[in-house]
Amino acid sequence: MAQILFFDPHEEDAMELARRLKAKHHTVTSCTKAKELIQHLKCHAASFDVVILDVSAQTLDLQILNGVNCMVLKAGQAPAVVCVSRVYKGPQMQLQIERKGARLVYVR
Amino acid sequence: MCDRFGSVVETVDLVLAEAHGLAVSGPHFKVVHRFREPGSNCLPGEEIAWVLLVFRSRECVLGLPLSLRILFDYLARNRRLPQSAAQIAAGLHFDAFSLRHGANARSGAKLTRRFSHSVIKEYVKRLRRALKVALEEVGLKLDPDSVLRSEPTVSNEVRYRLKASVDWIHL
Repeated sequence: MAQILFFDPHEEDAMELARRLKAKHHTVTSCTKAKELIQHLKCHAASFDVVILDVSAQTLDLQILNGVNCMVLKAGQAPAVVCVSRVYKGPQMQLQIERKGARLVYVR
Repeated sequence: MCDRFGSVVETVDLVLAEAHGLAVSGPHFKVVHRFREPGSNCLPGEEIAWVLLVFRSRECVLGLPLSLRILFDYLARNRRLPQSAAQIAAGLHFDAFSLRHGANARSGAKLTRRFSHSVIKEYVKRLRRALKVALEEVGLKLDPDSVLRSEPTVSNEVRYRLKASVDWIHL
């Protein structure tokens, strides 16, 4: 149904979420390394409908989200961005993420 | 059993539905009218006070001067069908709301504007610039040209159409 690009350095969790999304008939491309994520976005950003990023290790500057936003804007048709975190980041992080047009959801 | 990823899957459904809604209807705007006569809405004499872009829980007031607010309101009221610059200018000269804009305020200040075919083209560019700022402010990744669209005809005339959902609020 939708093309989803998913970045999560935790391989087990990445496989479980990919399985859940595939069960809903989405096509999922997973990557556990930032380099793979950048490569996918450079070549195929416009073909993805959703990009899911694990931001558990991110600080308030959200470098990974900034980088993704730059790349998807260059592609023209921007996929939606969903940020996932295993760690509670507080309201400022959530507001920052929303200001950049993404959504934040927690995995506990 | 604890479903760790249920919320992620639901959020993916949500963003896909949101993207579909944007593709079908465009972004959402609120147009605020002031100085209405009691018991009435959207009648000539009211002022177009502000135009706001609404996205998720954020609102952004578009930086529009009087002429662009009148133009935006006209395009929003006529957004079903595209119009050329000449049609828009003619429509604004005929439109009672635009002709009597702000008359209820009785402030003495002139709250109307004249529009010509060539001025409309320039105003469309300025409106797109204001849209670009607002879209970036609320974090909505949309090209302003896809909101205020140029639609081709079989000649070199271009027609404009606002692709958006709009609510009017009356103070």
